[in-house]
Amino acid sequence: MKFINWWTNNYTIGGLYLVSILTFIFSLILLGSLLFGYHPNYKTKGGFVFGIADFEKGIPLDLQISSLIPDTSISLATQKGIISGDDPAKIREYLNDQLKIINNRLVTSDTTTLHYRLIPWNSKEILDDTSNYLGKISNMKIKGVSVHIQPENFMSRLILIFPIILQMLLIAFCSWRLGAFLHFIQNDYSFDKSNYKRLRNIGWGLIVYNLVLFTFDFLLSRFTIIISTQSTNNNFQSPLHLSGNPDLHYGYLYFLGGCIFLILASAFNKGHQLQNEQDLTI
Amino acid sequence: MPIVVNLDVMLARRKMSLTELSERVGITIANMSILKSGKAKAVRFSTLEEICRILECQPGDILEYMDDADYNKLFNK
Repeated sequence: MKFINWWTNNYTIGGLYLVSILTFIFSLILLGSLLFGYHPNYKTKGGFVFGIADFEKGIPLDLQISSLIPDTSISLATQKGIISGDDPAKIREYLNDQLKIINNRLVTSDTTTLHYRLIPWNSKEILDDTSNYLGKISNMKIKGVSVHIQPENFMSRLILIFPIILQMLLIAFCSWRLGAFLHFIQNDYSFDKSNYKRLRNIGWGLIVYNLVLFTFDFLLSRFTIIISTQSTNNNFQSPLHLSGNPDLHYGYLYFLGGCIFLILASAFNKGHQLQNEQDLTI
Repeated sequence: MPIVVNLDVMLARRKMSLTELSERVGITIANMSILKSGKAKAVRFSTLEEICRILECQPGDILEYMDDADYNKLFNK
């Protein structure tokens, strides 16, 4: 118990403030990236990256994809017709070539895709596999795809970056409020009026965040991000055709969390009233 | 709240200061001041008993009910 108190007093509150400051800085960097289109990190000559490392290759975008790729033998299309590609070296070259380009309906001609990564389930990593088993993709189910996109168009950037900025701001806001809340509790001001307001604001913050992202997702659902791997070489035939929607981080759990915080806030408000009455009872 | 505290009247009659009363009752001057100014939400029977004993008066001498119209007129509310 003493250890928990010591840890809370020394690190938890400071940690929450630190998280809040860092996520706020990240959100500002991303806002700059959204408005002015610069990359949210800086790479030194030594290869050291400042900024948000995950954004090094573009905006990371999780896509929800539920497609089962049937047993596929990679085939090579030649002028003589489609032939089975049994040569692992050729197949690897073919796959690498196939996976170079992502065509995205939302972010079309002005999009430069530098890198993307498939997260296969019950299968091997396609890009990283250097063994000789690339000749056949068996029973591969794609659970989700993480792509890195660098859009140059403002609307494309808005669609891709806005949910991330909103999430960062929510984390910054909630961490800051929780830090102040714990600080007040630590100083025996548990039922202060401001503590009630902090909890209430966190609750509304979560609910509003959820509603905004729900609306955003609803509007976005009119579009589908198509990932079709087009070959730069017309002789190659693409085995992968995937489509999906951005995997936005919201849901009923955020709504439920917001409601719980609001209930807690009302309990603290009642506590504040009772303490006020107690203080004014002579 | 249309309950008026006439503590200042009783103190004047007994020629006693608020500080002396608070010391003899055993509560802080701040709390006694809250009671005197009518900002208190409630009064404990034990506190009322001590005040009545020291000021040699009845609870009705200290507390008075006033209807809303008179109360608002008196305190310009």
